[in-house]
Amino acid sequence: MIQLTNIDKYIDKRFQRTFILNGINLDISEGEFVTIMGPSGAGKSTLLNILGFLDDASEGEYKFLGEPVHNLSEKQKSKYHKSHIGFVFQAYHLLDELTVYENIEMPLLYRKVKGKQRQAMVAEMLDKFNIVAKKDLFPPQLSGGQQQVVGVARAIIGSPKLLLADEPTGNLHSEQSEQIMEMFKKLNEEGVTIIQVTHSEKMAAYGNRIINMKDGILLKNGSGYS
Amino acid sequence: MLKNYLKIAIRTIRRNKIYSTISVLGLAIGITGATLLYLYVNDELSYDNFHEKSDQIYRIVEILDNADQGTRYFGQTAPVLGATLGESYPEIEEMVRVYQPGGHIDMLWKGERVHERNYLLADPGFFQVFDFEFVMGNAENPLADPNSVVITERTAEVLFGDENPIGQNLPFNGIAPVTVRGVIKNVPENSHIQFDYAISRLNTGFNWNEYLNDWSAYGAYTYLLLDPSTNLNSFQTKLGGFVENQKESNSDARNFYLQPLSDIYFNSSDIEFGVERTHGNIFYVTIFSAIALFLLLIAGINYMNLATALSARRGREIGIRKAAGAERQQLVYQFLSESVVVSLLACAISYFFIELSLPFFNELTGKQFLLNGETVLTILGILFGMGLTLGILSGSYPAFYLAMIQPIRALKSKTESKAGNLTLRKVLVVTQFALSIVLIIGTLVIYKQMNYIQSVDLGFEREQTLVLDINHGNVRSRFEAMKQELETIPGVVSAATSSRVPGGNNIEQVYSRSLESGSADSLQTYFMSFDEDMLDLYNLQLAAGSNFTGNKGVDSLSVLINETAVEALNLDNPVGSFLDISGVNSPIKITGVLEDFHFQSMHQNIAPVIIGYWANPIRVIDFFSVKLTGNDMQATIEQIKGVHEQFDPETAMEYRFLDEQIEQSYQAEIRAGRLFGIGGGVTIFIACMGLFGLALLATETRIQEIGIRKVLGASVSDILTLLTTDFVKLVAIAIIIAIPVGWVVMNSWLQNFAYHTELGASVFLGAGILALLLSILTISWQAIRAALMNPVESLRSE
Repeated sequence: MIQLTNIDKYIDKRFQRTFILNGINLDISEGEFVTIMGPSGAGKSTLLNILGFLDDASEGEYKFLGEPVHNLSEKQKSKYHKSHIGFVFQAYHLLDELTVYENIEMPLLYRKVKGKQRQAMVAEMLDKFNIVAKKDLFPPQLSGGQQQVVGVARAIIGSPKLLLADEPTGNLHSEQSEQIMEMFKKLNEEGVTIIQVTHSEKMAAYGNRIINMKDGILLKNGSGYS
Repeated sequence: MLKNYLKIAIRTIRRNKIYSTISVLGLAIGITGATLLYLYVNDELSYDNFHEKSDQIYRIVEILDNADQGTRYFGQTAPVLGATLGESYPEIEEMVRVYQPGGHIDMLWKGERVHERNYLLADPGFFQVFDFEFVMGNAENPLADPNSVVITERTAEVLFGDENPIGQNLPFNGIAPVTVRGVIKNVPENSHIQFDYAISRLNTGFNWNEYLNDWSAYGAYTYLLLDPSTNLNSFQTKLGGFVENQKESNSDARNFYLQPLSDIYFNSSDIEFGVERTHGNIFYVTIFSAIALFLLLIAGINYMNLATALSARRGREIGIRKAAGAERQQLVYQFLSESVVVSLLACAISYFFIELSLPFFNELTGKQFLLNGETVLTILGILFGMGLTLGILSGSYPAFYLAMIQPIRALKSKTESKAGNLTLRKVLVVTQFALSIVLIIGTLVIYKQMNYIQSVDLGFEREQTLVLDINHGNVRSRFEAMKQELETIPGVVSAATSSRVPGGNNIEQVYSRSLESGSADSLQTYFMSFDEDMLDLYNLQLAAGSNFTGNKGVDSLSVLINETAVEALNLDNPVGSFLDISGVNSPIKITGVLEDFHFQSMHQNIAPVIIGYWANPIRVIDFFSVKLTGNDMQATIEQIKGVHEQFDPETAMEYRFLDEQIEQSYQAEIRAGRLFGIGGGVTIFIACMGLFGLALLATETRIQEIGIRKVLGASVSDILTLLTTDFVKLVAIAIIIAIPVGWVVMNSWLQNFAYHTELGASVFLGAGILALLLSILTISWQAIRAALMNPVESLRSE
């Protein structure tokens, strides 16, 4: 599904080039649940952002479903982005001025889904994550765990093939974290490819492959399925 | 989707209450001002264009070339000119002459004295060329028969009430009764032809036939309705040949040109007997259009500035939306819909502002705009159009700017995104303040000039002088008795009569020639007639010679002239020398020289003037001047009315105070001054509101910095300086830009006056200091709040 070949990401400053990512080679197949681990500043988030089309690599090839992403136009990227990728953030990133319902609905609006169908899809999500009662509340009225549940619901409502999660449990206490991870696991079993960044071994254990990074380099390719 | 955009727009507006209020209020004030000025400008520009064939109608303007005085233009022609033209050229579909003889017609109507000045006489074709809306009677050819009249609705209301006026006779004094043939709606304000009675040719003692065939006559405003296919240039050329031919048989024939109807209101200032009422001034129309644009610009800039400044807060939202799949275009639409909602909200508010300010605005401009069934849709249309345009224009920059933000940067950092457009925001603030300061400079210059006019020595006394019109022959013939009668009133110091009073207009002109110098060229001079008491009453000073003696036999062959006339006539020993004056058969002796005084408004240079005795063949007396003691004015005026009634059996007394009458000459300038003042006030208010918003935002984003600085030992005044200097610098730049612009504009304005004040540094200094003070006041409120804040709290908040 994902093929990275010699991906570099660097910042040029005066006479010095600082590498954030350096020669990344990575293959991820459909249905995997990958965990990227490593210390702060290792380049985990940058890698995730490149995978999710939120950022561009400076050098190298990125093939998504066989398509070379580095050659795609902004429009095409946006199209792929919409139909194949979902995001979950550490800071939840819900819009405070929208209700739970509207937050979940938002990606569908950008996908130009019809009103009736939208209603049905949001209702299904609310149901699935057990937050029907909270649909008219605004994010600040929810606990962190509940907000992240909404964040996950928003990420998968468009049925993405790939779910990217940047420290999804970083702001949560353990019970809430486990709940989110269970959700991920279930989604993975339903066929969604998941790539998450985390610091926690415990959370990493939910996945089936671990990639370790340091200073922009892949240390050890978790060799397949544990 | 649209619903969603609107919902978000409304929530965002609600969430940022202070900023939204500033934006909406600023826009509302801007739109209100611009709409009002638009109404004004549009009304000015719409003069005379309500006639269906307005673009085919031309007025004949006569040209008089004179070696000494250059070219003069006259709006009135000999009536025979129009008639001959009409017969000679097929290009002329219709020719119509209008006579406004001036003075008044009177009648006794149902026991009341009716005294009417607002009338005209017209050829039968009048209502075919001009479109005035008929409400009753014969619209086809109402003036076909002699002694017919068409009256306006308001006249019909006054004279007839609910009765049907058609076919009724009006018994005006001195002429045969005229029959009402039609009633029209009141003549629109924006018509240069104004009347309440349009009367067809009269059967009176006056010898019309002779007048209508006299090439040397004047008095006919002649309008031509040209065939739509006529090429104006070639037709004008043809007409040139016509005049040459005419001159061979009639030496009195004069040159002329055709003035388009649409030009009459604005381009008649150098045409004598052009437009009786105050004519338009394209300078003001341009300036007011500019102010209207300024207002919109400033309000729009405010919105843009705040919206982009706020983007720092919205970076996260944009990032999330992009991560959720929003395309750039969709984000642009979202932010645009937000700005459109804001401006439409502003429109709704400006509707109420307009409703509130309209009476005041009407008083200010002398117009009559109304919010009623007819106009409300137009105004709403203008508002809606303006709101939408403004919303889209001012919203597009922030919208594109916001939509361009890279999602990952936006998500990561809150403050990073604000640095990029700082320069633009500064430019916008400078523009706003520069525009406001120009307007303030304008206001100050106008007030300075008006002050100058008020305080300058006119060469005569204008205080506590009452001017009465002489409207009746009886008064004119018995004026000496009336003068004596007036002087017995305790509140009256003295009384005098004259043809015109100092500071007036519409002064007769004559040609005169010194018999001493033997020069053949005659000089055009103004002519007024005084009685022997005028000099005392107005405190006019004699430079040489003596005043009239009061002996009619001697004085009627004597004149006084002013110093300018002495110079213009090239007289070495004026007193005792003789003049040849056009219209007088015998030589006239100069008995005295008057020191120059401003007998006209300050727009004009002091011109040569000849002052004849009241008993002269050129000009009869038209006014009483009555000097009052100033005690118990009300009673004195009542007593004067009593005296007037004894002598004038028919008309009611018309009077005004001289200083008020003089002020009337500067009506346009006073009006402009007020509009400039209000414009300046409003623009600087909006600009300060914007500044307030920006200062609020700046302090908000720097709260942590302020906290750290305070912990490190910065004093309150250090923080104040830190927060205010940035903005004050901008205002200072604005001042530097505004000064030369203001100088150029106002210097050209001052050229309207022959006598004017100097621009002076004080005006620019005043405007600059005012702007600086206001901006410092605006910012410091925020700055002080931030500076006084407990640093522990501001640091904790992050």
